[in-house]
Amino acid sequence: MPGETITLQTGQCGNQVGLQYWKQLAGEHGIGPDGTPEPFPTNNGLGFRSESIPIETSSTKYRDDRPELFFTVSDSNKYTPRSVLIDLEPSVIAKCTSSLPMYNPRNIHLSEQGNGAANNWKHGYNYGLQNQEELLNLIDREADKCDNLANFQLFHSVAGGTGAGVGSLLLETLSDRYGTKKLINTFSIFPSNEKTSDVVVQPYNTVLTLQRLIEYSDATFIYHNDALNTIQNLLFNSAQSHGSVSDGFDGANKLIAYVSASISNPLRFPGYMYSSIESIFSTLVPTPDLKFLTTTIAPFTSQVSKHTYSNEYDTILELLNDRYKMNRVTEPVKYISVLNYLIGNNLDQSEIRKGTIKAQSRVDFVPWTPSSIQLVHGKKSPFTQDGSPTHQKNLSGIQISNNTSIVQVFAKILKQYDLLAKREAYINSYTESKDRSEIVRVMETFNQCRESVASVIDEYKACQSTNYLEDDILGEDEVM
Amino acid sequence: MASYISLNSQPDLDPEKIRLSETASLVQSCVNAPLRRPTRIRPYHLSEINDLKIQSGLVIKDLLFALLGYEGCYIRYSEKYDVNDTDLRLAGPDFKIAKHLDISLKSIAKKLVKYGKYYSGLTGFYETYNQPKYGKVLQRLCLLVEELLDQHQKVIVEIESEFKYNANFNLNILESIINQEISNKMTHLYEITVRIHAVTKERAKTTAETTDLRFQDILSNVKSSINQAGIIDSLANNGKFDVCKGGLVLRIVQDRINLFKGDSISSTFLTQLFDIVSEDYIEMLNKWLINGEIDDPYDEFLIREKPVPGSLIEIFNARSEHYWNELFIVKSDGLIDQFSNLDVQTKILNTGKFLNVFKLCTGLHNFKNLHELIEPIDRIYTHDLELKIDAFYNRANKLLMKLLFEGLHFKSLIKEFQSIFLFENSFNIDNFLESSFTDLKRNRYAISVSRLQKNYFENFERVEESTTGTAPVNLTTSISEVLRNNQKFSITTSNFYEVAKEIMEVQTFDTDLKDEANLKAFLNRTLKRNIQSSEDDKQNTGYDQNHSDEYAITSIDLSISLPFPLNLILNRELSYHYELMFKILIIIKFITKFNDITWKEINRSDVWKYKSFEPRIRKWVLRCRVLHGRIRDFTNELQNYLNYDVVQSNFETFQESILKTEEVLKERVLGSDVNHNHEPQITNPKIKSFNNYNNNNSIFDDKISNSKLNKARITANRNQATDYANVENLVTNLSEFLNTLINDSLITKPDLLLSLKNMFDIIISFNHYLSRLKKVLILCDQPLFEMYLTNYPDKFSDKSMDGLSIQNRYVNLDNSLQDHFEKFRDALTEFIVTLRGFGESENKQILVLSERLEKCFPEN
Repeated sequence: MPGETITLQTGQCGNQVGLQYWKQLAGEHGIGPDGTPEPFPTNNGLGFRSESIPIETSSTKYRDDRPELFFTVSDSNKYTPRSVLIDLEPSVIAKCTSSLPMYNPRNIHLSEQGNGAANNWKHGYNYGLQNQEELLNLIDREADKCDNLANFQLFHSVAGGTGAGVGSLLLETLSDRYGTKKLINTFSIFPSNEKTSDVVVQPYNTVLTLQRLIEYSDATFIYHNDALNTIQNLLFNSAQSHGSVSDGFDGANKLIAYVSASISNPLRFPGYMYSSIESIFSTLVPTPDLKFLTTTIAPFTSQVSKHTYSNEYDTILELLNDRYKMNRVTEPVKYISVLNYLIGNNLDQSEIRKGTIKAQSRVDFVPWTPSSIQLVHGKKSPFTQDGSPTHQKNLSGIQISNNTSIVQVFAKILKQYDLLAKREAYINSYTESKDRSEIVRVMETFNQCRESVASVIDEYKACQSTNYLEDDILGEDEVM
Repeated sequence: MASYISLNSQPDLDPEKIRLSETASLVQSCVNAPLRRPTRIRPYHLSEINDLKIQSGLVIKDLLFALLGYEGCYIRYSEKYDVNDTDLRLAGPDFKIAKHLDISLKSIAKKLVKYGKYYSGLTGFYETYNQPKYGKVLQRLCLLVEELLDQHQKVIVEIESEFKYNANFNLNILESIINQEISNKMTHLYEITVRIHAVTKERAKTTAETTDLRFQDILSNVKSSINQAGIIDSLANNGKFDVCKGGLVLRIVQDRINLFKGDSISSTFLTQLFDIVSEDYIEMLNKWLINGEIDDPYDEFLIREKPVPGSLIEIFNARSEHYWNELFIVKSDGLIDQFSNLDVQTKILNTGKFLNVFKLCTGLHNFKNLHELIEPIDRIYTHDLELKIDAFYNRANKLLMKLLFEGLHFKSLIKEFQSIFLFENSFNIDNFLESSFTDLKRNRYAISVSRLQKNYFENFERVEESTTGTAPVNLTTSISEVLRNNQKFSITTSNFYEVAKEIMEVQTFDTDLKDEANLKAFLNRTLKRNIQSSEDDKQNTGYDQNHSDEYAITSIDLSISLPFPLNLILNRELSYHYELMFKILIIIKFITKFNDITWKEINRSDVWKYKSFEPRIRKWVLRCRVLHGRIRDFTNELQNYLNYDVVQSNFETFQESILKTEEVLKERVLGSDVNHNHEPQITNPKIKSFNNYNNNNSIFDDKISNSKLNKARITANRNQATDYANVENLVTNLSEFLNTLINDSLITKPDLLLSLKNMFDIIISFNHYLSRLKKVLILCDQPLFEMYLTNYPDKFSDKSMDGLSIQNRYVNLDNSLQDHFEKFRDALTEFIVTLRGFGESENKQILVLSERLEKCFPEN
């Protein structure tokens, strides 16, 4: 069923993105920063909603949306995010609670020292291990508030200390605690490749985190900082020149938040299909070995429409454009699955049909998968119509795809990792002592993680071959 | 009109006496002759009278008697005539004239005696028919007859005095006076009365045989409606008059008008006659059209309120929409030309019906508060009769539509139906599937229906529970609450496929009626299939997991009984369309759900995810997942097609018409003025298509207006603002919408349905297959086996784990998967081919799905 989702936001990055994410959700459901709901708009235009004569506009009875999947509602009709905030230093969380007082203060976990994890995976992980029980209590308490918990989602960066380290531990813990019953998906932010980072141990952190993602996550959405910056320039700069700053994205975090929120649009604004998280993931992830997902955002109509009118057909084709991918590689990629989201009013089915057929002919699928591009018909939130009349489409679109760009992304990470690992550089910040044996032990676990990442690369490589499904040994001709 | 004798007053007074007393002053007059059978004084033999003048005098004297219906000496009744025989009395006596009368006199007399016959007949008619049971229209006619008789008498008195005192008076003068004064009117009236009597006699014969017909009529209609056999043509129900009255009388007069169209004097007289006779009829018509009242104590109006037999009241109460379909009927018996068109009849019928519905729902007894300017219909023979009927029809339509849209939120109703039956917002139904999945998967006879029901309703009531605490108390019951509370959820004995088959049989009549050969072919096919399937059923008496027909999910039935008057619009038949769509959509939802559950199992469970399987098992697992993924892609495509290409896109079209209707209604006030100012309508292109019978001499006009303009009218109807506020159009739009859904949803053609079911069966069976494999997989790996052996010794201790058994298990797994794969591939190919076939030959919309599937699965 459309069950509840609990969000975990860890580390600086995770909390910053999480804050934007909740702002986005609150905005879409007309919830004020303190959790007070606005009356659900009963638009008498083409929105075709409940009663034409406004009997009780303040009544929440006729909500068409389902904020309760992501928020708890108190008896006094206040909404609180089903979210747990974890950080080892207080600044970002303070920002979160001040700009969104709706956060439940009891759901915040801050380290008592408040000095952060120093961008070291191990620090974060060990901290999590020490406070495992407390963290688990926090999550359990939130889980108890759900009627039918379906999914955990984690916002974190893979390269830092808290997000990566505590995040990794949380994945292990959740998997152990909630096992196969609940889904776990992550929104994982990857660091810049090109720019040399001030955090030299990023490759270690990333590989260590990736191993947990590979092991425990059911679907991981990859946001790559470089790609985000490019998109931000593409979308935001053009918007800025027209002066609509407040409405547009003012940062990569908002981009991530917007896309992540859109993914659950069909859950929160239920339509005919895709009203459960399983139905979305099962469309995208055919096998747990291939679960790293790329998102794409179509240029916003509110910005683009000033130049050209963008319809469903255009949007679907825009979504194929590589420059709007949040995880971008230079090599051509093959697709395992594609799920487009079109979110808007009164979508034109024939344009969608045309666009999808066109897109199908352009997308290069791996040989064993049906060349099927699925489409989610999202409903636009009535709260975010931007004051525009409802007969406008107000179209926005995102795409989630499972593609082989992962090969290149992960290979690059491994390359950087190898550069460090072969010199055993900075390894002592991950060891308990400076003993050779300890260094060897740590290097061994590091290399196990590396292998696990390499196996994902291999899997994504192998899946492009026509005999991916065939038995290696028997070699029967069972091409599917 | 001089006097009006009430039907009820003084029936004991002999009208003849009253009439005679007026002339009492002329004591000597033969008119006053008191005896009905004058004593037979033997008259002089005419043969003995040679003087022509005397003969003429005698004959005039006799004629004066005869003209008043009496016998004279030389003009006598024929032997056949018998005053006591009603038929003969109404026909009037035939006179025979003395043999020896001079031939010249005789010929004139012969011509004149027929007026005596007419007079006598009319008197008889008056005596017989001036009674309440013959109704108001005939009463009017009797009054006219009476007047004519008076006039006739006066003429005769005049003639008599001429005869007595004017020396020059002769037979020729007599003849010319008669001809001038009354002959024409008398003839017409006489002919009319004769015709009326003939019809009455005829009716007396037939009604005796079929008194109980009416009751049986209702009964059979109720039955057929319960069986949902489609619309019953109840509009033109044959309620026959037992005597000649009301419309029948008008009809007879009208026939005569038509007969004498070329004769201007007769035509004018008859038209006037018609106007007078129809006065009461028009008054009834006006009451009906303006207020929806039937003021028809003598049962002669063209609309009849059908009496409901006491024994059936309960059925009607439960099915009030049916009651309203049956309550008012048009009597096709005795329809005048102006109302002969079925369109006009329907309009008249519906006008009053809508007004009645409106009155009943609002509690208003009349429409005075609307302050409308209404000019009633004053004559039947006017040019604007149809315009007026139309205006009244539009007025009633507007009232009812306003009631529906502004009082009863019809738009919300449609929206709710879209959500409840077609899952436009699938939240609740997904919850239900989630909570009842295991039950729905089981045999429909092996589950607790009440638990399912409870689950279903809980999921729908949750909406209200969670918010009532916070929302202010809302006194107005919203339509969505009414609908939710009226939901009936049940598990039926016949599953979806059987139901769909039944529908197909009905549908073929509906859609392919034009093409008879086609119809027959279809009937044959469905029949054959029925026989086959019943044989199949016999073979599969035991419950088989892979046989999805028996699952509870296939037999879910959801219906909503709508309150009056919404059920007049969204009637049983249309609701049924919704219910049918619900059935197919929920099956697909169920399959998607099953897919999701299996996906979780094969992607996330410890056994399936176990890393250390030997490579061939891991590849096998991968193949399972890939086939499962293909199946999921297929169901997604199918679901996408049904939900968006069929349901949503058609809904948008329909929704637009609803919104437009709402807009149009909003702009208007409730009341309407109906008067002679029809200017705006005259420019209306529709006017050409009126069947204006008054001037319509040529049958070509009819033909032309029927063939050419009907088409134009239909298309024009759609686009005109006035027609948005039209109940009939609303129903047409709605049923068009629903019919398209049904037709595009692959369930109306046996081959398609079979193919679809085959796909469903394969998908379900594969999901079952996967969900059972956990144990086998454990038995394929030694370490895994050992782990489970320690945890669940009783389940695994008896298994052998030698290399050969593992090899066998693997081979079995591999073969069975291969089998599933091939089955799916073949079924999919067949499915696409079938789709294509139907898409190309019958329904283009289906091609959308087949094209998409071909794109997705190019190798099929």
